[in-house]
Amino acid sequence: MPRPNKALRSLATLAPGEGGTIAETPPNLRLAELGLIRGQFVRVLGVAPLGDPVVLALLDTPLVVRRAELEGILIRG
Amino acid sequence: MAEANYRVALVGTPNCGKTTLFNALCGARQRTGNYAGVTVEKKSGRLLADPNIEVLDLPGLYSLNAQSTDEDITRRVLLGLEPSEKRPDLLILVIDATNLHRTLYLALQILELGTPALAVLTMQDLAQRRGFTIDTAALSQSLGIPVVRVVKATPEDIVLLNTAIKNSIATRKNRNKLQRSATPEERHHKVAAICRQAVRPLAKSPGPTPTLDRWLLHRLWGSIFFIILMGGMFLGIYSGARPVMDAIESAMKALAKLAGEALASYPMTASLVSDGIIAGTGSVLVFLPQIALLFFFIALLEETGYLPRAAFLMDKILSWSGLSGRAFIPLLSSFACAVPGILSARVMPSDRTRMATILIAPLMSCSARLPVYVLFIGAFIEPRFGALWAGVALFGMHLVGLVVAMPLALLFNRSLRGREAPFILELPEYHWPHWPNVRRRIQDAVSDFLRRVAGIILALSLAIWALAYFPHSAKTVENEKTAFAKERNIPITEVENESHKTEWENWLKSAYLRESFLGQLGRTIEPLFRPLGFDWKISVAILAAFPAREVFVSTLGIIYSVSDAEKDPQALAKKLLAEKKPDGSPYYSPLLAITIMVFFALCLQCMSTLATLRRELMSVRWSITIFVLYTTLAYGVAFLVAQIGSWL
Repeated sequence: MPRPNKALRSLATLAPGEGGTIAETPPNLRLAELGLIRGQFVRVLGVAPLGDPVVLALLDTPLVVRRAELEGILIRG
Repeated sequence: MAEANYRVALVGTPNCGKTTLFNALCGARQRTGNYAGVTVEKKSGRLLADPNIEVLDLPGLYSLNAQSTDEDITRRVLLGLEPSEKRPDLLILVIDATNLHRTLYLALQILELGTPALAVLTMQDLAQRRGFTIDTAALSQSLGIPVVRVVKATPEDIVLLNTAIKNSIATRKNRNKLQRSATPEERHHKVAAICRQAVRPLAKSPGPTPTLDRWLLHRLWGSIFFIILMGGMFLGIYSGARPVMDAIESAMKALAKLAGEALASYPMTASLVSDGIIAGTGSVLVFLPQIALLFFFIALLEETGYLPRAAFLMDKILSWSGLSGRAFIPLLSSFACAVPGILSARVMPSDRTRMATILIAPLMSCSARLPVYVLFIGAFIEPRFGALWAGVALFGMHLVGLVVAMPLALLFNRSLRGREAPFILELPEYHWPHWPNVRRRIQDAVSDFLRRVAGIILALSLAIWALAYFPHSAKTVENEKTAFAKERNIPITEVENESHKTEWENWLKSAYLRESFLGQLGRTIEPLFRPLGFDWKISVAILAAFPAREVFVSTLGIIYSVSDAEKDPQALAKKLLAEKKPDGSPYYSPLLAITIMVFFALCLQCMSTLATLRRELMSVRWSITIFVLYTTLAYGVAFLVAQIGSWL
């Protein structure tokens, strides 16, 4: 399946309300175990008052993650 | 208690309802301790329904690939690698209906080990509020182990759970070894398949949590709510505990007076009982109202689900120093008192940041420092510079510790060993507090403090009492009578008359203190304090305040023969203002006042804090290091203030 690169965006840069399916993720065991795996739908729910960390809508319970941890996770959509 | 025949362990993710289950299963038959060599809290108890069964409440974890000390302990116990802990005979896997996917992920990973297990499904009521329900039979079939549904730990549900536990132990079955998943992805796919089978949608309603979060996590409104809530909590602890603390203090004073009078014919025993034992006991009890109130608020924040949200809002402010949002509550609490503050660091997963938070907590300006600030600002800043600058000075004194603490936190974080879990939080459903959990949390904090810290505080109080009491020679009375009579211009025979009684008693107390071992020590080390501009009187008061800084004002009061200096700081302030140098100029200057306050802001003059540090860090070495470090720091910064101030 062709993957047009321009459709991919970094999860760390999404604004609240934006989201999509994870297309690529660097090896991060903890994040993978919490559900940040390829093919998983994720959406940014909100941002902390000072811009970091962010809340992700992921699986059943929202997850708070620092932006630095999300480096390299690419989203399609 | 006799060795238990069977060992059952509760395992689950953080916030899955594990603690509620544990309290319901064990009731009062539980105790807390520590795992060997680490600061991770160990909770164990006996099953109410069968005392032969020991129940272990293992620290919450997301995965067996441990990322923090807490998680590692659970992993080691589950694999039978923890030397101080036998491998459990049966695991109770706690499955949270509102967080089904992640809790099942952990359950599958554990079932892959092959230990006998049963599952408990919690929070089903909250799941229904969110628009779905879970079919326990389907879940049981997919997992291959029994699944018991427990909602709000009702007695009927707990009876069912007890039966299931006993059945599992009796039949020794339920060993369903699942095939190992090669990758997290593979396991997630298995979990997704189970969810598809077991989750039954009811209606399209997301429940109240997303709506609440839209406001409570909002960048502006969420911050405002947070500030109001924390301000209210701090005021609640600060002023709510005050009446009880005052009551304890005056009760202890009355008791000491009573004992003093009853034992009047044995002066030394009277002093030992009233100034040593009763005063020491009082200094332990006085912490209880604050500890109880703080843990009441923390339990509410934890139980309702707000605590991780507070950590989310505060994370950025603290992250630059290597701390995380979780450090906020311990640090804020330490502004009331470092003892409950340090205890409350238990809300942080045990790792480097928890230790760094505990280490800097004593630098937060606690309420016991306030009387010192009030005395000196009231006497030397306010009359000369006005109320505005007095306010600025008071605020500034509260900042001094914070300004020093943050870079230190960075340093500690860089140099401490230990594993640092990435800062990842789940935001659970909001729900009403389960009151038995709140009560248990307060009870645990209070009894733990009494059991583990009170003894040390009491012992040190007695040691300091002895230093301040002995040698207490009879010659002092005769010498002082002459001096007092000369000062007052009265014949020696009239010294003990009613008209001079109080003054003479204060005079004598002051003389005894000056000639005690503590007083001698104060005068010996006076040269050490001279670069800061402190005379022997301040030196003695500072020494006497090392066990508890609130003693400083009353000790100065004794030295200056002011009765009840704490109740009437004005009287002491007048005496200080009247104190002259040999050349006749006033001894106390605003600079000296600021130097003393800065010293107080940084110095660790509180043995209760040291005892709590030792207990929470499980390290005598660290408590001593911190004591020496902060005393040196206080001296160094006060020295700089004195020197720079004298050039200006």
